[in-house]
Amino acid sequence: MKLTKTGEAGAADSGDILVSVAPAEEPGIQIELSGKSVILKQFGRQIRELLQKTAAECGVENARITAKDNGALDFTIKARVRAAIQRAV
Amino acid sequence: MKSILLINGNDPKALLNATLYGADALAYDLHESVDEANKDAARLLLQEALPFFDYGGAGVFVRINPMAEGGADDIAVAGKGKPQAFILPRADVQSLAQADAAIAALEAENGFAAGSIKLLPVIESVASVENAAAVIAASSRITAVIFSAATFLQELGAPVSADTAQLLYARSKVALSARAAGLPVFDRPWADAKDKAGFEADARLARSLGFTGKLAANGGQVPLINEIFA
Repeated sequence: MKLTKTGEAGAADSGDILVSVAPAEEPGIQIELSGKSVILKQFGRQIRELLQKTAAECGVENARITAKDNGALDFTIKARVRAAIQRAV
Repeated sequence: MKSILLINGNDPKALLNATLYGADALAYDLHESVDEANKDAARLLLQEALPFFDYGGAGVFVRINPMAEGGADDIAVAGKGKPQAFILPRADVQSLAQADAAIAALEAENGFAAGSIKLLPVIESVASVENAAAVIAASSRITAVIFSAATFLQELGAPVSADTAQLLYARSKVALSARAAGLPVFDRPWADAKDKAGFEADARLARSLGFTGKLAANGGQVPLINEIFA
């Protein structure tokens, strides 16, 4: 799937995650994740993996994903990445 | 089933807390709670969220947009999460036929049993109130009926007021038509969370007119609905 513009979905509210997906020149999916340090320390790796996996499942090969987490559960992370990708096509 | 709690379908925290109030059914809303720019994201959120939770026996519904305003997309996308039923606002015979066909396609494409997903029409237009029996008979998926007042009053050209007498005919007509068809019938939500006395009086009046339950606009209304319609 080829991205043509930046797409954003989600919110900075509690329990949500704000995800931005943009086309990238370089190959692969680059992820920039921010949020509460205590959450990132404990779950950062899992969140990155889920961001990566969801984008790959959507057929995205080259992209830059910026995510600001505020305690989102897996279903929210997946949904927001999918919505951001839809909006970036 | 007495209480149906409306929940913003694009609010992950609200989805997470939805089961805390003891509602008999949860209605995840894609209609009035979600602004136009976020309907797409909300549909995907419900698609991911619906299979994620344990609802503890509560009914799981999705209130879609009217069929002329994106209802088919709501069914096709959020429906992959397999809700038990869709609530269709501004329902009439034609839009119920469209919703029925869209649900049949959803079931076929996703391996859901044919006819397993139900429909709850919201009867709220002047024409649908007057033709309530025909609307209720429009689809074999209909398992309950909901009355709502705002569109009815708007189409009637009547001022919106706290005077429940102006809704007496419409409520009675919808309740009677639903009960004649052997279906449960739910009264409108009471939007003013601060007016607890008004909410209670409205719920008791609905009960006296034959309604079997009421929509809850917030979790705090659920216990009283369950008590009044017990």
